[in-house]
Amino acid sequence: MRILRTRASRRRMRHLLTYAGLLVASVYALFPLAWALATALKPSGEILSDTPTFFTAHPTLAHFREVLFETAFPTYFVNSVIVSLATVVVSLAVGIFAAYAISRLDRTPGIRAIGVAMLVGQMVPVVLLIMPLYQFMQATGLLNTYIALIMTYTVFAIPIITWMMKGFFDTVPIEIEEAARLDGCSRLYIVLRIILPLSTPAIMAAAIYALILAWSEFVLAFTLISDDSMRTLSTGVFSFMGLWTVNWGSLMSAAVLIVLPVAVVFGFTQKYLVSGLTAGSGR
Amino acid sequence: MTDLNLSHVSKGFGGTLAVEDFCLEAEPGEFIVLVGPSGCGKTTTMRMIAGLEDVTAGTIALGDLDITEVPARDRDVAMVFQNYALYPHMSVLDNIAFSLKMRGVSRDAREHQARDVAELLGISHLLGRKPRELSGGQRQRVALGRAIVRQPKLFLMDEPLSNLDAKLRVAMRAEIVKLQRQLGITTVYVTHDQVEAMTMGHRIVVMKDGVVQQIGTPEQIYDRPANRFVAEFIGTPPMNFASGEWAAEHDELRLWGEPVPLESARAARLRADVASGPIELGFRPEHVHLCSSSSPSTTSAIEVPVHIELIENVGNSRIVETVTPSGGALNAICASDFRGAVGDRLQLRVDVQHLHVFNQQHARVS
Repeated sequence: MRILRTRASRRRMRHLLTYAGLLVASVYALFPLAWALATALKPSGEILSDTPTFFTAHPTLAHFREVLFETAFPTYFVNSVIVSLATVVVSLAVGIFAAYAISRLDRTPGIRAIGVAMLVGQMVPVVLLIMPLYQFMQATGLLNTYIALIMTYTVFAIPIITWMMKGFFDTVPIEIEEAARLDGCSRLYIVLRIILPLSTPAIMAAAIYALILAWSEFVLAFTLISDDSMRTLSTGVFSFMGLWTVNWGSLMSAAVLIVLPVAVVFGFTQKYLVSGLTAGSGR
Repeated sequence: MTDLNLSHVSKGFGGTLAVEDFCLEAEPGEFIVLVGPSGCGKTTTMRMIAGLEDVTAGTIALGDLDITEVPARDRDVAMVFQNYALYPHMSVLDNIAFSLKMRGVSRDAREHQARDVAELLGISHLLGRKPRELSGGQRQRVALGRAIVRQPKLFLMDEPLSNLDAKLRVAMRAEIVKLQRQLGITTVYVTHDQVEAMTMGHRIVVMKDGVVQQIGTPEQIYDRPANRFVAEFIGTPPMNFASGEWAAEHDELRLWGEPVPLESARAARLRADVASGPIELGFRPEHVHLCSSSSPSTTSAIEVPVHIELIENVGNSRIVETVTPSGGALNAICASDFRGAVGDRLQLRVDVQHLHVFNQQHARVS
């Protein structure tokens, strides 16, 4: 009886500690966002008050209205959507097939070396690449275009996506593909109709990775785009910070608006991120 | 007419030969079993027939068609994999109908055929389920259904029963045999289980280290094994072996120090094929008799004193492990009313007509 009780209380203690840890981590992660939201809802006068408060007594949507209707925010938003979606589509299209090749053709000479080379390329710090990239884009007339950003972002996203997808493809039993070959499928059909449906979780994860990378990237966007009408959200919002003043209310409401779409996408795709879709094909 | 013809087929991986000079002609509707220990090349051979593995040398023909270079998807060959390899994202119905879809069969027609096959296999009630919702035996049936539905020229089965529990395995074994006889489709079946080989195949191909040891009916393989490996591999418990001595000049074969009475025809065969010297003799445990005392020597049997080391009760019989004075282990299968006990000293008697003689190269000569 006594043993039972101590075991139960020990389990309760462990739960308590676990949730306490999770709570601390959540606060740590979410506080900046919550603060941004709280600030965005405050009237301008209250933001810079000497006695900062978390909850305002006079919430207002004035800053959101200002950002949405009196700045170029909608233009930045559209630009970000175009660049991000294109980055996701292109890097998935390339990454999936590259990953399939590295996973399945690893006996072919050179394939593994290419896979490793892709990763090694990732080790080069972005700062080193800024100048060459700028010169390249200038020489090719791509400065201030979507293509400049899409190209650079896909180059950064493809290696990681390739390795993410390779890791997943490695777990798909080769016999499923062989069965499909005997059932009359071509290699392309196998990838598109057998492997991809099985890979939904991995594809979703890869897509979210590419989306976040393109959505939040700042340094390259700042370097390669100077035309205000071509700016993406991260650099566009940066221009809200004036030389002498910072309009914190607008800046914070813009920040909230930037985070929102990614959070929504993440919320909807979360269930696909659960692995285990191949369960039941084999023994 | 042959249906499947493998002619001098070899497969090398790097420097090593996985399959060497494999020749086989299968009649239409024949059930061929490839059997051997792991790594003997049986699965590689099957994969070459399927087109999943390139052939290094030789040709494979299906009917009148040389398919050596034909891609797997155009061979009209269906395969059942060891781990079933069902499509996890498709329902049972779609799994079975998939190959028909790839062949451009209309939706109605292929669903109709898939349902027929499901009925044949007793899985009609599972058609809407996903593979992960099925038991091992049910998955096995779906895998079979997928192979059967398009009525291929050839069935290939790669150890399809090895993931099932013992009882289900025996039931499925009989079912596969019945199904194959009913459909009449030529089948190549790979297994390492000699019981499956003996019970299922019209003919058995015994392989070792990539080389065919013997091709024959179960009776031929069991009663007239081509060499010591086949004799040992097929049969549980395996064949007993003992060293003998052959003196060609006197036509005399000695075992356990005793002369073995030989028929003249057999003596002539030995004289022709075997040089004088040490020789291996084999006999199956079921041809051994254990008797309490030495009986008057007959012209057709030979005896050795043994003591019992272990008795295994397998229900319908007893497997008795005995040891000769020289330390040789010999097994006997006795009736379930066998009354001996461990340590008992008995006479072990073998009928001479059941003795297999192997030469110094381990080939069976008589």
